[in-house]
Amino acid sequence: MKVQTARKRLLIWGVLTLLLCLFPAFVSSQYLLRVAALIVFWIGMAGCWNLMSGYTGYVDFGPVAYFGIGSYAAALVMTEGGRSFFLALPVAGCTAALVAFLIGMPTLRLKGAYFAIATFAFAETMKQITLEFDRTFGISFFQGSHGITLPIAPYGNAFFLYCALAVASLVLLAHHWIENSRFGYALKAIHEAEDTAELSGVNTFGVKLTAYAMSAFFLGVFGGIEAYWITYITPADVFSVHKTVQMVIMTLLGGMGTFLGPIVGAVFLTGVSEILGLTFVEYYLILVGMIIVGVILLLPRGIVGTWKERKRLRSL
Amino acid sequence: MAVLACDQVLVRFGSLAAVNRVGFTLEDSEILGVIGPNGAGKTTLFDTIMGVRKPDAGRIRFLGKDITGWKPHRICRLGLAKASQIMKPFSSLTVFENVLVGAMHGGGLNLRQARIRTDELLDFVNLSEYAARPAGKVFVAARRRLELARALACGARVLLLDETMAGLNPSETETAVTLLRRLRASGVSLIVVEHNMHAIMDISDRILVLNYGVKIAEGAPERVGNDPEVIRAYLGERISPSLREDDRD
Amino acid sequence: MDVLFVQALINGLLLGGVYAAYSAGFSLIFGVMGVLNLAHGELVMLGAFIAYGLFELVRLDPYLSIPIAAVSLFLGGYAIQKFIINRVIEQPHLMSYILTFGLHLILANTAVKLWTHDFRTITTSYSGMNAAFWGLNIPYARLITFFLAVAVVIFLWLFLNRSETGRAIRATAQDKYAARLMGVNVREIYALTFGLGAAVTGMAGASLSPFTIIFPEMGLGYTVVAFCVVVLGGMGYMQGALYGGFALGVVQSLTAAYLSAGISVAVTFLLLFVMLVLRPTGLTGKGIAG
Repeated sequence: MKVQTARKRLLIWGVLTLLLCLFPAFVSSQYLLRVAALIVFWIGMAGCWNLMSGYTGYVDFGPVAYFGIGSYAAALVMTEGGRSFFLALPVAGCTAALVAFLIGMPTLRLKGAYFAIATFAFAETMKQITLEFDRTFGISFFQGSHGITLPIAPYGNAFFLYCALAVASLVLLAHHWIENSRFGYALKAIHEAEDTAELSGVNTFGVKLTAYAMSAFFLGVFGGIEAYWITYITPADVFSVHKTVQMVIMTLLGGMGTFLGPIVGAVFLTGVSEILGLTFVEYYLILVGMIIVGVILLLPRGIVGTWKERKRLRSL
Repeated sequence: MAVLACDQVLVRFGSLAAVNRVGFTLEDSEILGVIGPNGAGKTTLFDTIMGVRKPDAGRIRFLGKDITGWKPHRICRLGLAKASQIMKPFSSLTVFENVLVGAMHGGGLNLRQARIRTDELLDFVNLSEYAARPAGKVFVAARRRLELARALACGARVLLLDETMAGLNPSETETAVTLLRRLRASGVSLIVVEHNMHAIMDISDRILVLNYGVKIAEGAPERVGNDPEVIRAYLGERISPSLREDDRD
Repeated sequence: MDVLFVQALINGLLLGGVYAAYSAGFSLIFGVMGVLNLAHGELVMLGAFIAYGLFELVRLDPYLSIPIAAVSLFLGGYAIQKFIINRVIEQPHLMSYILTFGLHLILANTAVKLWTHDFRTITTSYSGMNAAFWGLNIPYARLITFFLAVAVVIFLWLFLNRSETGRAIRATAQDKYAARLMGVNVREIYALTFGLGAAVTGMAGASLSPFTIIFPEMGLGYTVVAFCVVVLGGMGYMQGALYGGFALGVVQSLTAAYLSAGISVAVTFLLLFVMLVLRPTGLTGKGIAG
């Protein structure tokens, strides 16, 4: 049964990916291409949050830290280093993963609320550091609130659709691997009963750190893509708590700790925000707030999670 | 060589010594019963052996290796496992998956091998019919057998069983006792903590008595059962193996 | 002693008093129910807006709207806990954090829709008045809030330790199952606690209105400071709100005076992070451990 579900998942994603690859051949509207790229981008981002928090249950309120680190790493590689985008991306990912490894070590010893606050504090610290570093030490590196301007990409939105698709596919591949592997069971065990997991031979600390660094790597890469895409980054932008909010609610709505969850959540919410548009930001946020409250009260497992639960109960 | 040896283990909570220089050994294929009033330090001792807690003094040796201060998962992988009623199961995972986790991580098997081992173990403890049920939804006696199976899946040579017979009715207890005997026969040593006096006196090769963190007696069940200090501290009346013969009528 | 240093120190203590005033409620709610109220800043915002509204409408002195803010927010908080948060209280705490975050989004953005992004201030006859001596400057408004903070913490301490309801609250915080067995209606206690926490925070918001900028999105910043204050002082420890507040206020003030204002924000978060990693129970060690 498990193998069938896995094959089905891969098939669905394979077909979708193919369709998305062919999309630019049939659609020339930059706007539609941008929306498509945005949806795929957020599928990947939500997936990153799901990889760590969805599976382990450790609520991370600071994933945007790694996104921002990736953005800055990529920007600096391309501006100061003069290197190509394709080198910048892996550097962005690795930088983020390295920082995650260092930060994860003290932080992952915390539980629940404290972990959430600590990760949030770290993200805000990163924002403040990039804002104030240059001014405090009298050098020119992060450029503070002036931000960094990257070389303009000679590609249209189709290129970024493909970039996002590639990385999002990797994130989903990671999900697929987790769903039926030793590592995946370790994550689930930690989520259910961490003490029991430790006593059953699961290296809980090592597993958490791995998931955290893995998630950070992909977030860093997405940060790099975003930097090149929007060409101009500032601390307030790339370390914005709103990005964390998006990741969290998309995964929550879709279903934490599931493969399809981030996909469902990202598609739905990106769609809604595009419909409501920029002029209705407050309405969008109020709606998001109501969705959050609604999901928590009525559908705590998210759409996919609840559907899976009903399916399981019916087969008993 | 003793399979497990505790040497002068001291665990303090503030100024209170929960485990006060306790030392004992556990031999191969042996069942050691540990009794004592509540708060005597039995659970703390188990926690310390399993690495959940670091002792303030003393050493713990398992199969000749000094495991004092090791992390629990390393100790588990070495072959020492604990089953206890306070250990929460992985409720949303199935009974099968609960044991699978133990087999893969504690036992170091890959997914395929672990699946086979899990099938064997569920069969051994008679839980095969519940394999697909969520662990949070099985009844008490099955839960206990599940804990046992998961601990065994870790490839345990030594099992620490903390009140795993709590909440069982007489026939379930009988089944549990038989299971433990089979384990001993297969080469696993057990340290059993129980309040069920009859069961523990019945099954143990040796008994260790703790009171206020101190070891006050150690030896064969009959001797310990008649030790005046043990009686004063814990038993209240003489319990000897001969009494049980009368009880069975 | 260097006047700059003393002034920075005094600024820090006054700032700390302000911090303590609106963080005590946060600590109470977390301490008793384990709920991380991410909509906390909105309670401050609502208190400030009540004071502002009454000032604009009937020229009511902001300090006199404190009781009104207290009562309104008590009722609001009580209702929120009773009808919304209580539904997830038996589930993992994660659910309550996200729930309160949803409430934060709703409250903050509805406020923006109703009252626009505009910054507002209250200017009373005594707004700019300071006590000035020895080259030092002590604004009266902040001084009043300082004393209010101390009074709030004392009141909370007395209430929790000397009253029947307070005892029930403490019992529930320690062991809700035992409390239930003793006949305590745990859900009711939770609702009262949230109401109390909200009331105290609303009062703080109203008392800040004479000297702070008031706008609908001000909440998030206050929530974040509240985090820092209670982690420093110890989660769930009432007096800790004072210690944490003062510590944070002084650190920020000194950093701003000797380095830069921007750095003081960075230092705040760094301090929060370091505190959590090294000593989650707070400077006093009396907070709830992770």
